[in-house]
Parts: sequence; C-alpha cells; structure tokens
Amino acid sequence: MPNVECPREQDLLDALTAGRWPERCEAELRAHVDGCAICTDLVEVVGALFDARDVVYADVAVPASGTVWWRAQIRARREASLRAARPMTVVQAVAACLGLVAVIGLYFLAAPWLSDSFAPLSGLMTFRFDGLTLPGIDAVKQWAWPIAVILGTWLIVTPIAIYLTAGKE
Amino acid sequence: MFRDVTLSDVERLQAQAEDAEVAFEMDEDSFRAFYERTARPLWVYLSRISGDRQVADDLLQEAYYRLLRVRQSWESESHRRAYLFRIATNLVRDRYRRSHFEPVALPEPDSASMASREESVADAMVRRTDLQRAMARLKPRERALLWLAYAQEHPHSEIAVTLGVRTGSVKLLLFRARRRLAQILRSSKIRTAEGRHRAQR
Repeated sequence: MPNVECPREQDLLDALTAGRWPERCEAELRAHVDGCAICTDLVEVVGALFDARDVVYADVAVPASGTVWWRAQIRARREASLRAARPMTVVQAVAACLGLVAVIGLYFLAAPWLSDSFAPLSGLMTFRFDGLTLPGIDAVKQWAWPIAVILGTWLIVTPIAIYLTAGKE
Repeated sequence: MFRDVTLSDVERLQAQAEDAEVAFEMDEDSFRAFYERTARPLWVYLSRISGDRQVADDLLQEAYYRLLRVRQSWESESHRRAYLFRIATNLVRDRYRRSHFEPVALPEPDSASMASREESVADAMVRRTDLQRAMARLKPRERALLWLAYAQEHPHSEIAVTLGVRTGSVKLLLFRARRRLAQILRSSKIRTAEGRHRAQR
C-alpha cells in the first residue's frame, strides 16, 4: 500500500488556505514540497480548486430562503392531502370489486328464473344461454349462500369502513 | 350510528389537510438561518458534481425539502449539514442512474485566439477550463470528495457521512482522487503549453 499521507501535509494545507503559499511561507516547506510527490499533488489540486471555488461562488444565485420554505410547505400540504384521500380510494376500489362480485352472483342466481320467464322467446334465449352453458339449478342453490353472504358483508362492511376512515382522517 | 359520506366530505377532508400547518422538524426561523449558511455551498457542490447548473437549481429545492421531512433531531449543525449534503449526493446519483447522463466535455480552448488576449486572463481561463475538463474525467465520488475536502473544507468525519463511507477510508480515497486529478491537470498543462508553442511559431 502506498504512503498516502505526508507529515507536512497539514502545514501546507494551512499555508494554501491562508494564502501564504508560496511567497510568504518558510523556505523549508517550499524545499520539502519540491521533493514530495504527495505535497506536489496537493499544491496542484488545491490551487486549482480554490481558484474554481472563488469564481463559482461569485456567480451563485440561489432562491431566497422564504421561497424555498414556502414551496416546501405547499408540497408537504399537497402530499398530506393525497395521503388523506388514499384510504378513501382504497375503500372505493374494494367496494367496486365487491359490487362486481355481487352483480355476477346475482346474474347466476337469476339465470334459471330468467330462462323460465322468457321461455316464450325460447329461440332468442336458447341462443343466449346455450352458449354460456349455465350451471344447473342444483349448482345455483349450492352457490346461493356464499353469494348471499358476500353481498350482505359488502352491504354492511363498506359503510362501516367509509365511516371509520372518514372519522380517523 | 352511521353517517353518509359524500363526495363533498372527501373534498372537505382534503381541504382540511391542505389548510393544516405542516409541521416540519425545523421551524421557519431555524430553517432560514440554516439555509443562509448552506445554500450557496450546496448549490456549488451540486453544480460541481453534476456538471450542470440547471441540475443544481432543480436539486437544491429537493434536497432542502427532503431534509425538512426527516423526523430526526440533529446532534449538531455539522451533522445536519452532512446529512443535507448526503441527500444532495444521493439525488445526483439517482439522477445519474436514471438518465445515464455524462458530464459534458468542454470544447478544447483555441490556442491561437487565447494567445491574442491578455496573458493573465487567458491563463486563468485555461486553468479553469483544464480543471473542468479534468474533473469531468473523474468518477462522481472522486469529484465530490475533492470538492468537499478542499473547496468546501469539510472535515473527514463529515465527508464520510455525506458520501456514506467510513471515516478511516476518506484519507485513502482522497489520496487516490487527488493523485488522479493532479496527473490529469499536469498532462493537460503540457498539452496547452505545446499548443501555445505551436501557435507562436
């Protein structure tokens, strides 16, 4: 591993920072720098960076602190607003999904009744229901209870969820 | 027991959230004082490590916003400043990863036209151009290290927090970055001197 540190590095850095390098610093330090690779690099790099810093700082234009504070406040409020609305969006999405399930369930429940009711229009109905290969009446009875439970849960849980969400916020 | 929630209720909730005073960890006066002390160095740092003034403008606001949102008490002013610079470093890194932008290489200085100007102005311009070009050839972390250590004179412990490295590693990383930059600057000086010599002939 190469030697990464020179004992005179800090002295040289102090001289560079204070603007004493090279004219107003000890001849001994100048002589040391001439023979030290680490210090030679330091002079090269720090001199260039100081020069660049002085130029760049003279040309900096940052927004006023009040503007940055005000923008941060506005943005934080907007994000708080979005956070407040997020649970409502979730509840609405869940309600919509459950609603869709309920509609599909109702459709299957009502399918036999629809078949019977529209028997006179058998031509049209046959065309419609044959293609769908509807489950038999026993299968409909088997699914009636789960569908009724889902529908009932949806009708009870959704308003409670909305109430609790709105209450918390 | 239940009350109806209408669309207007949702709008009311949003309006309440918007009107509420947003509580940051820092109050406005503390923020203003901290900003006055750090904004210019931060902007310069951002523009130096990104190589783009526009990027520095964009990321300055973002860096302060993220600092304000942090729920943390600071051990000291130095700790808070190091954290701010760390946020800025990460923002530049993220932007770099997203857009794969590379620092734009500056055009080669025209030796003939430079010779016709006043020598001191020309020399200063060449030096700055050389530095910009040399910095562009360094890795982003090397640029950040050198700028923080020498142009902004941050202590090694603060640089370690800013760049997410161990304090003990800063010295070695700094040594390597410094050596690399010095080599590039020296070779650049030789090229410039050769170009000037040709122009004079």
